[in-house]
Amino acid sequence: MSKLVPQLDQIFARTDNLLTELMEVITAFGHLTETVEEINHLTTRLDGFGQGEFEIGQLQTTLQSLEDNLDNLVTLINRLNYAQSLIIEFQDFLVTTQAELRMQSNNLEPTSPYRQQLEELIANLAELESRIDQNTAEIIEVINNYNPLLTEVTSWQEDVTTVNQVLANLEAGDEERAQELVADLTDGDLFAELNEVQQQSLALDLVELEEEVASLQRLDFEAIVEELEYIQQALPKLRDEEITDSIDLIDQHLAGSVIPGAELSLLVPAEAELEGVEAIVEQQLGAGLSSYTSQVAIINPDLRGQIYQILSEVKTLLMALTAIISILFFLLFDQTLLINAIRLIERDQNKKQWIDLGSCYGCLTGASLLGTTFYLTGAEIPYIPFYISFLVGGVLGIIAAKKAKAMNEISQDEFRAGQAFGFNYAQIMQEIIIPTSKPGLLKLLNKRKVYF
Amino acid sequence: MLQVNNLIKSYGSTQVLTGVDFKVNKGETVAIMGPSGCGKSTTIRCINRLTEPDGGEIIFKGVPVLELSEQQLLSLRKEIGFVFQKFNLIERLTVLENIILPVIKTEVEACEQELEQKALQVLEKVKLAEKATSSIKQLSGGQKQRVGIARALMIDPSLLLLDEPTASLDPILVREVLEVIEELTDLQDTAIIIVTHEVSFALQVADLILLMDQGRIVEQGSPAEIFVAPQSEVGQKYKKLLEYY
Repeated sequence: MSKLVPQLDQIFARTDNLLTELMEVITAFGHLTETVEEINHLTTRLDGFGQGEFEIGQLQTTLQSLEDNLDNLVTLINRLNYAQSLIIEFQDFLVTTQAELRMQSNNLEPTSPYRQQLEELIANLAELESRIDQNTAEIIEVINNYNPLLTEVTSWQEDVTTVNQVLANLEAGDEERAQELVADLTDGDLFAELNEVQQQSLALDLVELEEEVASLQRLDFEAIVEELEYIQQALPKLRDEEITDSIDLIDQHLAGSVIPGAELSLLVPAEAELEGVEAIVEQQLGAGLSSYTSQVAIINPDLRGQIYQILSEVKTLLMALTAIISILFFLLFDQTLLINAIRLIERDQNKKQWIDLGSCYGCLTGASLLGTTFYLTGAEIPYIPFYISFLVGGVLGIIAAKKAKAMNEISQDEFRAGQAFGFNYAQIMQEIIIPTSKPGLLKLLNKRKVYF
Repeated sequence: MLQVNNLIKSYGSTQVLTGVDFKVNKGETVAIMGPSGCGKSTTIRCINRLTEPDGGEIIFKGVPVLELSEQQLLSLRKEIGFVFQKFNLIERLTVLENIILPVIKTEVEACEQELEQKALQVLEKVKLAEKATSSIKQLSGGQKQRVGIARALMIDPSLLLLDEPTASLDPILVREVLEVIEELTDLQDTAIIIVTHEVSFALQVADLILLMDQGRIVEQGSPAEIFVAPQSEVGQKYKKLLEYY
């Protein structure tokens, strides 16, 4: 991306540069024909100087004009050479840009809209390159024909200059000497070679090339470059591959329909037509979906999913442990008082004790509290069924019942005193037993009811 | 005021009371005496049903106590003061609070100030007014028992039951408790039943002495009758004891 964006940016500058040059060459080429004709005309005139009477002054004027035209011709040929180098350079640039684009495109997911854009761009550039190739082959060949002529023209130009300087020093009456010099000048195949160059064809090829290059500007480079630049700026510290990966990720999650690390597996009967199923899935879940089908089941470990699962299990386990510890504390600090009270009342009522009601109460309370807590909080012990929580709660309740006397012993003397006062059991609990118990929920709730 | 007929109580296979009969009149002081384990404490605990009797009849102010509903029983207990052998005070409360506690649920109309006033008067009777704000833990055994007596008096009982009030006290402290109880026997409206081993005290304050042995009353009569010409073996033992002192 770091190479591609500046490269795509260069397309504008290079295209502009080439177009300007081509237009100037084409314009100059319009004068080439005139120049060559003028040179032809002037050389004909020079030939005429050798056959009849003439004035040296007229010859000088003609030679001066020839010298100017030759100068123009040299400039034009040089310009053609420069244009030729630009065209070759531009072709190379197109090839390099395509290669860069191809590399970036290959990094993207096949379904990525960015990849589609880049592929379109590559196709356009390839087509342009192909068309330019056809034109430039001819153009370069024609221009190459001019190159050997350039040396000759330059040499002849120097000769014309020399002759002109010599003529300037001749005195009147030296026309013969002048004729000899001119005859030397016109003796050669240069003009024939100049005429042989397919000037018209070259002019047409240049115009066509200019049109092709101009067509490059019609491609929507600007939008693509702008988008790529935005991505590059947004992800400045990433390598190109990472940026393309990021684009892929964004593409996949743009619709918000993909959960990271999650995978949707649809198992269909063997006789189902997979393409049809894929089409339905894409229709339901969006076109940006990455789907694959397989004839056999694949176990595909998903690291993120597994970590999430482990964390969930740890979370529920922690909740379960917290619930167990909290309820054990609650049973020990609060419910042991009630367990002792139940036992005391039972004894007071002098009933036959077939079963320990205190333990039963502890067991039921523990079971219902832990079971309900597990159910409401979603806590669970991995690999252990839900109903076991009731069992664990029951065991906790029985443990609490066993430790009840040590944890929250009720003074029987105070209990008897309460009875003697004419207090009912609730009043005894409220005024005498709970206030002397260990800190807990019961004591807290009882605070607003107790008289002392 | 109180009539007990054929009171029976057993704990498992052990028969504790085997038909106890006696009668207590208004303002009368009755001392129940007898050897340990003869059923004295069980007898007075059965009167307000702190211990549930197995059979018999208890008539208090013409009301059959054993036929009372739970609610009626609670109301009955508010008329009968009970002093425990081991004081049974509420340790976390102060002396004053211990005394007020039995009446907080009954005298709802009375304001706190009035209750305090009454409690202080009762404390005055047991000579503990200066300890009103003291913690129970700061009191001696004798003082604790006097607080127990004051607490029982707070409800203005028509019957006061004292279950060996001096049994947990050392001899020096016994005197101060007995003095207080002695003063209570002057109350005209309150009948007192006291379970005690204090022979001289019983002789001095009791209107009627019940001698119990093995779950039944073996002899009953005035102190003079019991200690001068006892009919029962237990009575004779007590006579000897009195002569010894």
